[in-house]
Amino acid sequence: MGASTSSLPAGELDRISIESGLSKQSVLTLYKRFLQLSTHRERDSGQYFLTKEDFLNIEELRLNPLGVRIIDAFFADAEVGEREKVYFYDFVKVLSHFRPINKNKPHLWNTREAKLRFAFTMYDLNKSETITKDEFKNILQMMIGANVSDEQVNSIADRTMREADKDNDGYITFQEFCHAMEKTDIEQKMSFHFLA
Amino acid sequence: LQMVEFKWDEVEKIYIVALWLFAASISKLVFHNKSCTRFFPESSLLIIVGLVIGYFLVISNVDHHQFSLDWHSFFLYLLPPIIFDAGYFMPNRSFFQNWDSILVFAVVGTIFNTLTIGGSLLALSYSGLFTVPFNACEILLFSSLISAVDPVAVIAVFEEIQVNDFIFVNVFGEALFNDGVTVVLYELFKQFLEVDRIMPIDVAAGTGSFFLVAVGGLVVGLLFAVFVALLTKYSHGAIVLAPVFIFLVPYLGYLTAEALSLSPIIAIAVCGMAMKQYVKGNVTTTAANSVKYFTKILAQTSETAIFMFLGLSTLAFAHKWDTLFVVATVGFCILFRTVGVVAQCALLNRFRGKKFTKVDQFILSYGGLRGAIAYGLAVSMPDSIAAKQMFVTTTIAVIFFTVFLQGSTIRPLVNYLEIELKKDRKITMAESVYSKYSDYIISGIEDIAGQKGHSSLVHDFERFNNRVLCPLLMRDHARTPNFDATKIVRAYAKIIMDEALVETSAPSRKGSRKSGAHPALGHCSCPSTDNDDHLPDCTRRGVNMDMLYAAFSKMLDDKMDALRQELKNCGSSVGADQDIFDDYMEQLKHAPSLKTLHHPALSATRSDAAMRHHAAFAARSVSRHDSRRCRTEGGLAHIATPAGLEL
Repeated sequence: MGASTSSLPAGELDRISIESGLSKQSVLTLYKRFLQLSTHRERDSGQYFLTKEDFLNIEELRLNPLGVRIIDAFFADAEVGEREKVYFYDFVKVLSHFRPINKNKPHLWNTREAKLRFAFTMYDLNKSETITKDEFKNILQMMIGANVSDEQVNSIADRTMREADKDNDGYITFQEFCHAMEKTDIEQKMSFHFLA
Repeated sequence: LQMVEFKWDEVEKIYIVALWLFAASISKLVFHNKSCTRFFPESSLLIIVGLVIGYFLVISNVDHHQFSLDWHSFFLYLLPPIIFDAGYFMPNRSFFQNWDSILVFAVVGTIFNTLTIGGSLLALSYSGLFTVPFNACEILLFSSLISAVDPVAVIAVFEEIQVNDFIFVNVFGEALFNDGVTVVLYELFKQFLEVDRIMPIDVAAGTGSFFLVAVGGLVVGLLFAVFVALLTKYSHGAIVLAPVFIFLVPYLGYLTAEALSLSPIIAIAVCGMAMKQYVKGNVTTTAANSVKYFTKILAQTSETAIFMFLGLSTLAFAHKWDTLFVVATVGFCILFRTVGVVAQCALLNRFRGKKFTKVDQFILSYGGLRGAIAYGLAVSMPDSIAAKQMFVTTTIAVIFFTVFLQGSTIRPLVNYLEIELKKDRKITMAESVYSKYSDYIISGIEDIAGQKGHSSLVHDFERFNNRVLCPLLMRDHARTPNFDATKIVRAYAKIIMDEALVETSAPSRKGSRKSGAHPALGHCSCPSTDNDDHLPDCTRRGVNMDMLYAAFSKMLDDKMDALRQELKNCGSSVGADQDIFDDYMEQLKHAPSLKTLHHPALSATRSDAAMRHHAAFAARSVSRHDSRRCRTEGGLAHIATPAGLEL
């Protein structure tokens, strides 16, 4: 499915590799995967891109309770805006958030903040820069709603909001979110090592 | 006809054993204060107790051969409870996240240590410097048992230094599984001893049997875990029987594996780990708690017994002390462990996200303490080995060295190296939710990127667990398509309960304070902060006191009921200072820093401290219940103080 025959022009490869901090090998691996997923191609420039349907075609993602949210966050994070198309550059950019942090070679794209930012975006889809209780409850519902009563979800959401919302304005800003996650080992949780 | 006789002979042996255990427990109680545990890990204190008692037994000319440890008693009676306890209280989640490193350390590390230590000692023996000669097989037998890191000692020491979860689970997991590996190797070399010439085919067969034994043990363990889960599922007729099954079946698994020449240690450990989740869902809270306690009791008793034997035989055993051999053994043990750990970590770090830092590696190599199992294996060596005495003596020496020296110096060394210590903090709700949530994110991202990693393996297993295993093995399991929410709900319930406890104990504090401060005003301090139905008339005397008390007591009753409802729902034991924890990770998290005085250290060697806590908690809850009863009966005097009202 998709055009798996074309290859990435060398200049492009270098550029993306440098910008993202990924090794060329990783970039090529990702490109292969990108082509595997892509079913659309720009008519004029010949560039491939991904739409939401392409993501939804991934079987395992469909089964993931947060699957749809991840896809939405992917698009939101890539800042594609109106066009709803993810080009390879955007694809690499979002995925490189999950590169393990290398203390000796810090990179803009996989900082702790970038990782937290992705997580935050998943909650806050309307990009209002704040999470309301309802948005949080929504995610919670998606994750555990099948197992617990609505009341319990409500209480858990309530409780979590109260813990994180320092200034008690009913919203959680990105700063408050980061603060709540201060002690968590984000670097380990939101990384997977195959990206070097 | 004599009315009263002195029937000593009939009870002599068992009386002494019981007295022995009693003495050990008492002395542990005595030793269990801050000043002692500050310097020595718990297992070293046990050894000292053993020494003391051994000394008394020796000078009273008791026939110590009666109390010598033989293979039978050690392997069939004393060892299984310890291993089962370790398996049952294993923090499964952390274990599975680190399964690769744990298995590498346990298997590769142990084999490496065995071969190198044995090889070095053999090479050294060719120089003829040792007093007793031995051949290759014998020395390999010895080195296999001396390579085993002991889980008991590890837990004791690591509680003292409070390292982070990551290191703990690696060392503990390694200690647990390398027992299995050690025993397999030990049996292997024991068999080789009988054979006159060792051909390559034997070595190949040996290696093959190693895998067979280990994997076979695993399979047996899993089978019996399924068996006990099903038993508990269908045994609602007799709830009391459930704990019996929970103990007997793993033990049967142990014996079955032993009978089939598979690894019984791995079998019972795996059984304990696998069955915990299902069994807990199938029995009542009380039953689960009693299982917890009884496991600890058994394991603790066994351990105590083993260390006592160790102490006794130190004094009573006819030792063969060969200085060079002892020094060489100790030296090689430390050297090769360090080398092994460094090499393995270097290898593992290439493939792992979470890497082992230099300090981690130091802890791993220095924290490799030897303990009871090495001793048990040493004394059960065939007597036909000429060097057996020397081996046993050396084993005891190594155990003493590692437990006393390494055990007591590890903390200052770690402090010196400024390791990232465990921060004692309550896990917030946000973190609990986030933990689950990030697994799913990562899994999703991996699917997008087309790469499989660890977390999706865990994720897949969880899905499989929910879909297939839980409904099969657990009673009334709600259909959970994808996600196991129980952890989050349990975390939530725990947090709520802690708060509820604080709030329910607050009234008595606030009440007494207020009543002391303003007796004349009759100022009503309604203790429950979230109940806004503040009784309006309480400042005025002459109000109907009975109604007032009834209202207060109802409020408190509701609170109590809510608390007990939470208890029933989530099935975890409550207590601001907890009694026995669900797994060693929890125990480690709550092990207090040495600064807190009032909080006696929760010993990991299954000590009575846990019992004491439970007793204290039980006493508190009883008194709470009593006072509650008094309130409902309208006992005025009892209500006066909490309510803060003056009559």
